[in-house]
Amino acid sequence: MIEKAFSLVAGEKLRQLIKDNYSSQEEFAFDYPMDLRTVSRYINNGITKIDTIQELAEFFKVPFITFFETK
Amino acid sequence: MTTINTIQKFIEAVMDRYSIPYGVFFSEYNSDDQLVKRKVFPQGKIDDYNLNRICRILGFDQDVILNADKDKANIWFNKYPYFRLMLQYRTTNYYAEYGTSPAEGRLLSAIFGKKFCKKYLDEDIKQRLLETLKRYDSVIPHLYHPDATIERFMHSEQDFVPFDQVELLVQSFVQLVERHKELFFKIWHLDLTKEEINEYNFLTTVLDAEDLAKAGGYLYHHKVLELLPIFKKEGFEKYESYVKICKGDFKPWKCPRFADNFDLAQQYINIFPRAKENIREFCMQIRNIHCGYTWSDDEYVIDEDDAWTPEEFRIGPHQPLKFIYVPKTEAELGDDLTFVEKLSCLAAPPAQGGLVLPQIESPQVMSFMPRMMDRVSAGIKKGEND
Repeated sequence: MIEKAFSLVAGEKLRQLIKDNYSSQEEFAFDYPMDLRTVSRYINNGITKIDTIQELAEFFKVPFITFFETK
Repeated sequence: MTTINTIQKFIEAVMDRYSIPYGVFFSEYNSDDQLVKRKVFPQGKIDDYNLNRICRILGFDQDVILNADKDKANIWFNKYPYFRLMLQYRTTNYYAEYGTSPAEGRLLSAIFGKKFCKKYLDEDIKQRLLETLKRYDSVIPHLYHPDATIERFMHSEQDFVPFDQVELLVQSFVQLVERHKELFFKIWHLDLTKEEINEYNFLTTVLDAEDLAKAGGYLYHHKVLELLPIFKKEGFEKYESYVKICKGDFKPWKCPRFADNFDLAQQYINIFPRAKENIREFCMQIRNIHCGYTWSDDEYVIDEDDAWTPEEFRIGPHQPLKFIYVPKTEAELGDDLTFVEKLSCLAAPPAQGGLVLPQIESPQVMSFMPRMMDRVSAGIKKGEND
C-alpha cells in the first residue's frame, strides 16, 4: 500500500488525466470501465494500490512516475 | 435405419464441430443435485418434442437428424468460414496457453496436476520483483523492506496466440452477426422461407442470441413472432436494443494481428464492448509480469467486514497481498513489443485514437423492469432454451 501523501498525489494526477482526455468523469468511468464511485474515491481519497496506478499510467500513455510528481 | 445411439453420437459430434456446448442444452440434475449431461432423447426413442428442439437448435430439417446425415449437417460449415477457422483457432489457443497439444496437455495435467510452464521461472521473477521494488522505493518510500523476505509470492503473465488468420476469423464472426441481424428484422415484415428459418435459428444458437429484456429467452424464430407486438410497441431502431449476444468474447485480440485492422476491431467492440477492457488488461500482462506478494514484516490487519461475518468464516488478522507489475525483459518480449504497442492503442481513450464503446440507443433500452413486465403481462416466458 502507498502512503497517504503519495496516494493523494496519484489521485490528483488521475483527475488531471481524466480532464485532459474526457469531457467528464462519467465518460471515463464508462470507457475504462470503472465504477463512478471508485473514480471519485481515487480522486478525493487517493490511489493506494501500485498496480492500479500502473494500469492507469499504461492506459493514459504516461510514465508511471508522473503519478507521484508534484507541481 | 439409424439407431438412437448413432443419432446421439452424431448430434454430439455436430455440436462440437460448431463449438456449441452440448451441456447447455441437454443437461439435468441427478440424484446428488449435480448438473449432468443427458441424452437428446431421454426415453431412448425419438419423440417429437426433442426432435423439433434439436432441429431448431441446429437449424436442420428432421431428415438430417433422423438419417445422421453428415453431408447435410455441414451446410453451415460450408456457408460460414467462421466454423472452420474457429476449430483451428481453438487448437492454436490451447497450444499457446499450455505449450502442448491438447492431448499432451491432458496427459501432463494428469501427471503433474497443474499447468506445465517453462518460460517464466519463479526464482528469476522473484529476483526481478525485488529489484523493481527497490527501484520504485526512491519514488514511493517504504515500498522495499530491506530486512524482510518476500512471502506468498505468485505471478501471472500472458503471451500472444499466434494465429495469422485472426482477421478472417473476426470478419467471418461479424458476418454471422450481420446475417442474424438481417434475418431478425426480416421476420418483422416478411415470412421467412424454411431455409431462412433454419439459418436464423442456427445463428441464434451459435450466437446465444437472447431477448435483451431477459424474459423472452433465446430469440428463436417462433419467439420473435411471439415478442413482435411488444418489440413494435417498444419502437427501438437498433438490433442491440432487442438482442443480447451472450456468446462470450472469444478473445481474438490475443492474436498479434488483431490490431492491424482498426475498423474490424471497432466492429468487434460494437458486439463485445467489454473486450476493450480485456484488451487493456491483456496488454498489461503482455508487457509485464503481474506479481503478488507480502513482506514477512508486513503489519497484520483485520478487515472491517470481519466484525459482521460469522466466526467460522472470518478471515482474521492477515497480511494483505500486494500486487505490482514487473516489466518483461526484451528477450521475453521479442517481437511482441511491436504488436502490443498497436494493440494498446486500441485500448486507449478515444481522444488518443482508441476504440469507441457503442452507446445505448436510449435510457428506455435499459429499463428492464418495465420491459420484463410487458412480457410477463403478455404471457411470454422463457422455456427450455426456448
